[in-house]
Amino acid sequence: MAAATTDDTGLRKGRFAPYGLLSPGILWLLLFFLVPVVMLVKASLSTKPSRFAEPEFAWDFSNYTAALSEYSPEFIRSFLYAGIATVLAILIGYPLAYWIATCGGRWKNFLIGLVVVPFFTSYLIRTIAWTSILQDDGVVTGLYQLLPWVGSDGRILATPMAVVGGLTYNFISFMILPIYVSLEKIDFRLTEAAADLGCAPWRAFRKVVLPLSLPGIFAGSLLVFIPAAGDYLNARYLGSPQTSMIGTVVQNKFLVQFDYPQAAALSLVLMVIITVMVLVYSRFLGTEGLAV
Amino acid sequence: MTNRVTRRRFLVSTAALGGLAAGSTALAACGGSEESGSSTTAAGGGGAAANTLTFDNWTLYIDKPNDDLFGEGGTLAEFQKATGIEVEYTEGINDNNELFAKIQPLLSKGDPIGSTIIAPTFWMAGRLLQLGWLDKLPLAEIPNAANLIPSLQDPPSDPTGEYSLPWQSGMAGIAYNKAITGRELTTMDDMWDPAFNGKIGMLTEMRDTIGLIALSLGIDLADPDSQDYQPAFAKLEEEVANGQIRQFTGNDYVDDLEQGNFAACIGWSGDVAQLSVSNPDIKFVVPESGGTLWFDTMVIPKGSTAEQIEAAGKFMNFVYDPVNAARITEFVQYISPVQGVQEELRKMGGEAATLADNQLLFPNASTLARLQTWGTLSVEKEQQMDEEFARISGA
Amino acid sequence: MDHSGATEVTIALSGVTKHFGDYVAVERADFSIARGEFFSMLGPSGCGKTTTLRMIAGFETPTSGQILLEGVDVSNTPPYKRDVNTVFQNYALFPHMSIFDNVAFGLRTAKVPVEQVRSRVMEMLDVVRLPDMANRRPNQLSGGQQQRIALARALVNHPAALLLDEPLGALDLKLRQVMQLELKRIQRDVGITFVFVTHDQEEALTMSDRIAVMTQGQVDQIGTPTEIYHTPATPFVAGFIGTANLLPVTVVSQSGDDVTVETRLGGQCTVSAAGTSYAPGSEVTLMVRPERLVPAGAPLHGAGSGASIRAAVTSMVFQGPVVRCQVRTAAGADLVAHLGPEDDPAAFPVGADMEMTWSRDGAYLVPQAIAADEAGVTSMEDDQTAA
Repeated sequence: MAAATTDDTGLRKGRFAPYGLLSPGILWLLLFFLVPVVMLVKASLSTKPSRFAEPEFAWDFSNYTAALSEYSPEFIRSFLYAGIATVLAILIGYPLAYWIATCGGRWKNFLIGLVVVPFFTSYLIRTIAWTSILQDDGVVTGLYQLLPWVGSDGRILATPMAVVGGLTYNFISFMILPIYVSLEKIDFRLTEAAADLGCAPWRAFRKVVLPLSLPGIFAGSLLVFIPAAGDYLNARYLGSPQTSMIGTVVQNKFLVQFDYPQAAALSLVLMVIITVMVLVYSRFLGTEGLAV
Repeated sequence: MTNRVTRRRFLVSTAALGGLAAGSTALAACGGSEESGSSTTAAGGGGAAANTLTFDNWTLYIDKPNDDLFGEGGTLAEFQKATGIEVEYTEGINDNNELFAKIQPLLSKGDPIGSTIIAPTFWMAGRLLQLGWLDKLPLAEIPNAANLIPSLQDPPSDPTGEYSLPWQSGMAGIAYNKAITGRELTTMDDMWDPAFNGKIGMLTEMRDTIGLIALSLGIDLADPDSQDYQPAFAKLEEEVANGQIRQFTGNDYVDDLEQGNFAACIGWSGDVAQLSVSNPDIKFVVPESGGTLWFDTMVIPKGSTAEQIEAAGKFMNFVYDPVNAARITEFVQYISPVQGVQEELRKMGGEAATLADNQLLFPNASTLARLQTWGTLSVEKEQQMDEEFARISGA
Repeated sequence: MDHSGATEVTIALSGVTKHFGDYVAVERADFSIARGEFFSMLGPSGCGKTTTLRMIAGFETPTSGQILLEGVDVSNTPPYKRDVNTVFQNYALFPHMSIFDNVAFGLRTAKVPVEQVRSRVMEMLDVVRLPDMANRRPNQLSGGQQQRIALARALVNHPAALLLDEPLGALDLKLRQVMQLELKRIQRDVGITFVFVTHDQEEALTMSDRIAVMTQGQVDQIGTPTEIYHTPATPFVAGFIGTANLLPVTVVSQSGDDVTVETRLGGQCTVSAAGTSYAPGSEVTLMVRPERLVPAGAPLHGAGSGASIRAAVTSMVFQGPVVRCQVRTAAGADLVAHLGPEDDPAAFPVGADMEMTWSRDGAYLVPQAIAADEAGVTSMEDDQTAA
């Protein structure tokens, strides 16, 4: 008899359970994604009758045309810098993650901890610390000036190189961690299998380890590229007026000029471009790697 | 963005908080929102009891802002002893524009912001006044307002002097590292010396950067709506384009100056007053063509009760007593807006007395004559100038 | 190099030793494996069999000694330059590739022309009887199917020898038995030398032409399954292969092929010397398999005069084909006899005193002594089934 009752409620619950189970997810999506995006879209199509007035919704697309026509150099620069930083992060991060995953032994967790340690310091302070390290009278710049094509008045700070370097440094952990996780999951006996089937070490890596770690590279690239493309602090502290990125513009439009409509339009354009790039990128990398 | 590092540097050098030292200059330099906190709302002044006063100010801008760090006593404690009013003092202001972004949604709807007194820079105070968001000061409670130094009386940002009383003041001029320049600088043209290409810094604060260039071109700042500042912007753009100007910075110029990244830059007197103690090569000069005089000013945004406004008046009266003002000056080392502070410092003797002779705290008549304070910009002109400045500075 | 033998040698180990730090994994392994032979290395875990296999594959380098593959010293040759292929214990199929690509992997690495790759892969998938799986992913296959693919991936390269590292360990008993026969069939079909590592003596007995029994890094005995079962070289081999009753005995005298030994209880019996000469007084071990141990009066298995020992019945378990009878001698040694299904367990109640007998040929003399406490039945497997 007790069983009958439970069965009964079980059935009644069953009919609505799928919706009930979905609702937290839907609520989450509505609250933290859809609502903000709708608000952003609304702001981007608004006008302000005067500087300190509230924006009024007006289907005003001029914010978009202005955003694209006036700030395309900043957009291009943002994607260029973020792209180079992402590639550098892969080139530096992958060998490091590989080394930790394969040779770390019982030090693995410690070494991965070291990768995360910089996060204990504020992002801003880490960035500004580089201005000390790379200062014009410093050792690093002194060594840099010894390069034959640089010369004694060469500098690192306030150059695109410093901005890209800063972006790489600040976000490289986001590359190392997912790559490390994907490498950790690989059964390295597979490389023995590849060697057994005639592969020299480099070919075994290329044919087996690299494809199996692609999901990590993919995730890492997104985690580096997306925040790097929208970043403004590195351009602000390590760059010059000639290296400003789109994040700089958005920040200024929003906080100094109170031009919320254009700031919103710029943010949305950034979002859309990044989304398109991510889609193309995932198509290019293929779902093969992600399926593993 | 005006967030003066001196107040923090002072903390580092005097309070000698070793642990804080590593991050402090960096923290101070941040134009971002990291340390702004939520004090304007947290202060909860609107609902505070009758004998408390809420005051939101810049960081390290008063002696002994809290007992934990600096020990007992100080202006706030003395004030409570004298009047029975407890001050809920917060250090929530980090940047004028950020402050504005925070309070604008509340004040535009007529809601209280949670603080009875805030201390924006004069032009921001002027903007708040123009927008009709300020209450008049209870001048009847503030007889000491008569101690306000003449040069700051009835400023363009508050032509009748009924809405604001300056908190502290300072100069913007040329800061330079003599070890790099190899010579003294005296004019803005010295900044454009090709020898310093890529070694010149400008402030992200539009009024100071454009102000100094405009003055060097003979353009006046007192009545800005009657002036055309395009030549100043053109000059700035030219120096950005030819690479003379390396960077636009906030307070972080002090690090660039010390590290030799900047030979010279536009800087603030208070910072250099501190910096030159440890590094005599760092110098400050008001250029021959003139510098700007700025001040942060106490205002009462709308939404406070009559009792709170009265308490605010008592507080302002208290800090305009030269004895109390001198105690604050000794700590913050800015130009005090209160007459008689110099004498009070001399009376205190010791290190305080040496401050009385510091030109950066008490500029002489010839320096003062070269200083100008920006008049109030119309909303449209300010917007147009902000946009132009952002475009040129790569923001 | 070695052309003297009738059969060609594929793999030859001479004095191969492997140390891991202070730990001696393999000590002076000396043996050769003939072309087309199914050769097993059998032993408990940690005996060095897998290390030996890995040295043959090239994943480990011998500390000393030589490994010859087709007469060529490959001791220090990396694995990808050796003409051997391995079937790994966990199969190690490439998860990101189709079954076809997995099997084609070695051929493509060797730059075999595309059309040949196709035909050889499909041919090999036929051999392992999974021709329809070419487009699947490894994780879509069952364990047994993955096992066959791993086999195909290795065999498709026509290696000089196929190395199998406990390949059936992960399969359940039934599938394991099927795969044992399947492996044997495939080995006959392709005619490639198989080197098979296992800890399962039954598996080794079923499939192997010859078995090397290893323990503690040493090869105790190499021989055909029959030799190893009937004439174990050491007490360990006797106990590891099947069930053995071991009794410590002292040689009394030898005359021709007859050796007379005396048990600890004073009884004497005669055993075949099997070509070995024993000095009187030497300590050796007498082995009687359970199926050769019978109650007095029952017909003896094997020729020759009998011997007997008195013991008390401690357990009597009906196991279907046999009745497992466990007795304890007066010296405290537990012995096991497998009685026929026709024997009535009720005739021997627990505690009953009985006489166990065996024939001359039913016993074998292992030319090594065992300690008194090692006397009795020794079989890991039998202990397990009894438990």
